Amino acid sequence: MARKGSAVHGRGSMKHLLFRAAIVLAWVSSLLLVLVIGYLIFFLLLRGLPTLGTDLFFGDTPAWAALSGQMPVWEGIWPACVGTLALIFMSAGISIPLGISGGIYLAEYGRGKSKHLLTFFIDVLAGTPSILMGLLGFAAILFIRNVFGIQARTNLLLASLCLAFLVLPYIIKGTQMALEGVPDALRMTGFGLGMTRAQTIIHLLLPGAAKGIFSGIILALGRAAEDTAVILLTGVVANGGIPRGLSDKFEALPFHIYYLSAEYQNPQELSQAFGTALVLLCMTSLLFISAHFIHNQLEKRWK
Amino acid sequence: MQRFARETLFHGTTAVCALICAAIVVTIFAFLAYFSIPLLEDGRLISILSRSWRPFQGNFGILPMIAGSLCLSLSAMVLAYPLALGICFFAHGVGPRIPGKIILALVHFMTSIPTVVYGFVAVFLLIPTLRTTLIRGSGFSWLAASLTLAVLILPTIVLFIHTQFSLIEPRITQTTCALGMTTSQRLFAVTMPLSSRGLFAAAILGFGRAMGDTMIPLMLTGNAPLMPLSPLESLRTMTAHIALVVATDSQGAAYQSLFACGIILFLITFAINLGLRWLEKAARYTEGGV
Amino acid sequence: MEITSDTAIDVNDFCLHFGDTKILNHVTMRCKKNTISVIIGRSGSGKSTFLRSLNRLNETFPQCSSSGTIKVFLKKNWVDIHAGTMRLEDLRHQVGMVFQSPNVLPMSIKKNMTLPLALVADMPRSERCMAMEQALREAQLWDEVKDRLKDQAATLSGGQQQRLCLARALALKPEILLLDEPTASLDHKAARRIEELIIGLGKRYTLVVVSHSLRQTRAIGEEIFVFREGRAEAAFSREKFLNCDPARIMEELF
Repeated sequence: MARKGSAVHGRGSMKHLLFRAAIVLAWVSSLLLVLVIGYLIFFLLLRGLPTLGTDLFFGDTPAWAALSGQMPVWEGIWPACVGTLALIFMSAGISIPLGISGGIYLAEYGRGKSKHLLTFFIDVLAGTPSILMGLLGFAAILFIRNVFGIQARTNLLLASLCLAFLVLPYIIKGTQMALEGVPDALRMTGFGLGMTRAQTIIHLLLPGAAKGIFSGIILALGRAAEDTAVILLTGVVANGGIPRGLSDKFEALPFHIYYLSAEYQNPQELSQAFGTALVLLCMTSLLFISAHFIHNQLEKRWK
Repeated sequence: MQRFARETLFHGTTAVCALICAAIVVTIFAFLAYFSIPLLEDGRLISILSRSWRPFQGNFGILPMIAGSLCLSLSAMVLAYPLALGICFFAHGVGPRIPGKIILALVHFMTSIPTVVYGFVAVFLLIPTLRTTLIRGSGFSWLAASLTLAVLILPTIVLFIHTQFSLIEPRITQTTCALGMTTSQRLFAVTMPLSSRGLFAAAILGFGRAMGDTMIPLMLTGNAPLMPLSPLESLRTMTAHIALVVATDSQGAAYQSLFACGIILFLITFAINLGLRWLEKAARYTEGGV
Repeated sequence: MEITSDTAIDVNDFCLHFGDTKILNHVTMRCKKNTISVIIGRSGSGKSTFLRSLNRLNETFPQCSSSGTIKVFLKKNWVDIHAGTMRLEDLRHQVGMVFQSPNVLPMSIKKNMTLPLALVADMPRSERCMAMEQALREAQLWDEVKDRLKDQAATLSGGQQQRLCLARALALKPEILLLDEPTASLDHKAARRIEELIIGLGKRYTLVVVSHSLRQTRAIGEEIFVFREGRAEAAFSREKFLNCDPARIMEELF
């Protein structure tokens, strides 16, 4: 351990150099990070802010007519917004009950080997690339076509299901960690009074874990909003309008950004791409900030 | 008693849900395996693992894609890791307190930026820059994707190392300060060695994250199905390949390459998962729960 | 002591392990009905663990295993609590427990009382308020809280919280009450109040109290059991205990 004032020349200076290098690295990387992210956001705001307005969303169609579904939107990103909202809503509807139940089981009922195994598979799920989740949906359609002969196609329902599977780990982990954070004394009180485990969980533990669970849900929603790989394989299209039903194709904001970045035909479409990127970024940032806010509230509660 | 019936129902329902969640990966693997079975027929496996991808000539080799994924992910990880380490040093004492907290908050915020937005900004900011300075041609290249991917996986690595440091720092800071060590001495000479397993795990985690990404390779590499020989040239990853094949809707033989990519990707992520678990277990035994 | 029509709890050769560690070592003892039985001993002698064995609460901890029998006299029948004839939750319904630190639920005072009544006693809504008032009166807390039932239970003082926990247990109409060092976390005045309560309850319920103080044991104990290293080493009736030389007791215990 070299003391600052007593560096011996030769032996001490090599290590001295390393320590200095670490300091340089720290400052350089931090500055670099701030520059890169700062410039990214600045660039988006620069090119995207001017495009924000009803034109971006509805094109030439009057806003009210578009919102009430009376007239279709041709030049705006409203159908993509609807598609993304539909995806978020539906994947949430599937993954929330499934994930919370699974998380409850792992936190409160699971024991020993079976818990170990279940946790392992769910960890693998968490690490699975999103393209494979989309491939699952795609393969399912192929399978149904080959084996059952039904002319199935990729659609909103399939995409929502695959997205739900993708975000499941966020909800399971959120629920499990929130429940494990509830003090054991509460469980003992419940059991001591003669409550069944289900009663203890529902009436005593879940209210205490609610904020953590909610935080996990918001992370899941953000993930569902931004994912592109899954929907690429399960039915997203560039110009499908507003999906009328579960078996329809659909548009989505992240895909719209990708599509325009590759295939834009004129400056207007490019501007629209920037506007869309800004809109999506705002959406995910909002979700992030609310999750962070809730998380902080949670930290204060159990102290 | 009604409540006992409810208890059984509740227990059963949660158990079934946990089982379903666990079964999803199994189902993925099952489908991948099912569609990869034709590959095991006479010599198809060899041809799939060839270097040549020319679908119209009947060549469906995916070796370039495997190499592309590995090269891109490795290079992104190598770029991101030192920066991530530097940021953690900064946040743990090398930098002043408030800027340190701001940097960490920024890194947290980065996790909410959609991948497609990173790719989008890179297409209109990074690619033109590269086109005029380094690369002849379109600018879509291994380098462009690598730089952007490094930015994408940076938060993953930073937050993991940050967690490791946060476990160790409180225990040793007073001692090392009392001994007269500077911050960077402490970080470099004490904290890092103590969290060596965690540092290794962070690298693996970053690598895994890079392997699994689809959009950045898709948007920035140029997607040429050739062996990656130079960072200034185009390549294709397995993930982008899957997306492209599905999009082009070509013949059945091309689909097999798709599932071959899928299974290889799955096995690699599975292996990474096992590796991380093993590291965690080993850490718990030797370091006593660090 | 033999089993007489007087006995409420009969423990025979009971052992308990957590993993490989033996906590209770062939405990054999009997508690009389409608009597205050006090258990004293050094810390680590297994008193609280023994108490928790009586309502099988130890089983909520991992790697718990036990042997031997514990029988309790509930609803005019002898029940072997490990035999499986009575459900765990029903056992805990009829053998109530008050813990060392008051563990009020993070809810209003009213909810603290009515939730167990609704969930465990299956009591219809119309009867709950009356049962709550009755129990709160029994715990001598009614007058202090009747105007603030909607307040959070955590706003009560330590002594009041402990009396709330007592009322909560009493509302479920147990026959046996287990109290684990009920005044350990309370100040002198509040402790005295609880001790008076306990003496009053002793005529109507079978009470088993783990105590940490000799003074308290002398104040409330009708039958006294001394625990040492996981065994019930000695048993005294009240007279014998009071006539004992304090120095000798200290020696025996410590």
